[in-house]
Amino acid sequence: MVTLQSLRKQKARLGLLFLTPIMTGILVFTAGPILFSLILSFFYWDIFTPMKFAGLDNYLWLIEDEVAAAAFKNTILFAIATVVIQNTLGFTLALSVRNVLNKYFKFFFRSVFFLPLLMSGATISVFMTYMFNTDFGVVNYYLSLIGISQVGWLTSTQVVLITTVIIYVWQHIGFAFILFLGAFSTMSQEVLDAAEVDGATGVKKIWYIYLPLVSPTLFFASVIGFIHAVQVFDQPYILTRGGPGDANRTAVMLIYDVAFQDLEFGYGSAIALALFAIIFAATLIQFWAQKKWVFYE
Amino acid sequence: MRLKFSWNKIATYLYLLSISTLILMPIWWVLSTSLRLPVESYTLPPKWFPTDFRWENYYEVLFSYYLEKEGIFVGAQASANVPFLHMLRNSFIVTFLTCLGQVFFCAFAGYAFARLEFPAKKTLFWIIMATMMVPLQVTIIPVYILITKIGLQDSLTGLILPAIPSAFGTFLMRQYYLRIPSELEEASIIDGATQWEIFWKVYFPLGTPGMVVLGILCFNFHWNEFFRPLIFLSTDFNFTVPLGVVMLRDFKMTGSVSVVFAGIIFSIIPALVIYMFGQKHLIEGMLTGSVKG
Repeated sequence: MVTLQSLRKQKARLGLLFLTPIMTGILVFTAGPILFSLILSFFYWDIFTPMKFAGLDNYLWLIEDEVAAAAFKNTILFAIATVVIQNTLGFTLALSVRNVLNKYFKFFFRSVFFLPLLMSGATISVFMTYMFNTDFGVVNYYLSLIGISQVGWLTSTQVVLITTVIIYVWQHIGFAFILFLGAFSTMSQEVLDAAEVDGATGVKKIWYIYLPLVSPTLFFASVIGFIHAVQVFDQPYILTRGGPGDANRTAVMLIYDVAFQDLEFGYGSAIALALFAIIFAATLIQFWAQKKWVFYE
Repeated sequence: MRLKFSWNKIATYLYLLSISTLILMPIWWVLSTSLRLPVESYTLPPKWFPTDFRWENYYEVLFSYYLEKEGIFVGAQASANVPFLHMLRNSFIVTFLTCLGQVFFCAFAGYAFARLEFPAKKTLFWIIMATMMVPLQVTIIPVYILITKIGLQDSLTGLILPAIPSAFGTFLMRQYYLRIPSELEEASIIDGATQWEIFWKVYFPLGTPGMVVLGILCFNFHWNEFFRPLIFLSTDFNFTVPLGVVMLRDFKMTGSVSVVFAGIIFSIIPALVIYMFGQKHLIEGMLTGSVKG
């Protein structure tokens, strides 16, 4: 006979047993390290010599460090550019695919846009290095046919960040696309029909009907896209190791260089926390902005 | 009206086709270049169709490192310096064990949060959710120091172990178990099942779709992972495929680019296979998973 009390006991026992592995793991490999990072950011440490208290030095250093300033500026510019382009492409592509009636074509386009998401940033960056080579690259070859010669995609300080944006967007088109496609599929047909009766067509229909209706998705895709983009590392690291100069250096590359090349773990932690602060702030701002302009059905 | 409509249609298709072309062309170029003869591996104007089908490129990227060690010279190939076969093996081991661990332990924890009652349940759940928002870069320094201190640096174990306790996976599995009606539990209790039996015989099998989604997402992430392996691993015999592909490029020198691209194709294939079998799951998972930073 099962009593309620023994049942509760059984549940508690099994619950704690089931939770122990994950909880231990998260304490050791995530929660603990977050706290340790916070502490570390107030110390000098290279692993080999004892930790030395640094006060706010690491943070002050971060403010004065010119390389860090360049890296954070690049990161923000990069994130804004990719979010805008990705969402524009994702929105228009999803709208177009929605109008495709043939179900095989639909499947084809959806699969193609999704395909690069499955590949690693590392692999993509490797073959893009060859494609964007100044002298022998495929891209410059075709540009030369239309009279544009020798763009230094990976060698010019003016261009290299744009190249990284292109390659990153190429890989991530499918993400915003899938989100918008999902949003369109849940849109009520009545609203669209009503709009059509009222004479909304073409661009007007997109601007006044589709866009407001998917604005929660637009907001969501922007926040997530931004959070992903400010953490970019693989592409700029593999393409040019952050160069030429600091033109392609991003915040995470800075963490990599400072912590794992120069073994300044305290300063590295301070940079990581600054990056986290940006991510956190951006999320808060966008949540706040959402209340102002997002239309919920 | 009719004319305008069809113009719209043409514009729509043109737009879709041009973007599809921009996505497919580089991949196609990699594939066709991977099959070329060394002398033609890098030609301008680019050739878009394979003419020679030199499958040896695929053989060389896998084996030339080992052949060279045996004293058999295979030409100035990048792969002579890169034990790519080892790296494929490493990637499979890391990805498989990480995902197996994630799926099982997250199923346990997710079930505990969804269906069991125990002290401090809410607090513990809140802690796990909070860690989900913190990006990898914040924890990587302490985790690196930790695995170095316990002697797991430059080992596959050091890569696998910290990746198993996934906050996201726990959250995902919890959502799946919450969807399963609780009447099943009540019925099992009346039948005299213990709590363990209720989980193992009823909920665990019913949670399979969730585990498949988690498994596919995990595979896709860890197969392609670059940042952690780059930091944790230092000997080429321990490297994973993404590091190997970059190494192939850096060692190319005068060798054939086709061999490098053959390596790239090897790195893409497993992800493609997973995609073909689990497209639906992958999309569903990404939509849920996108909450993760």
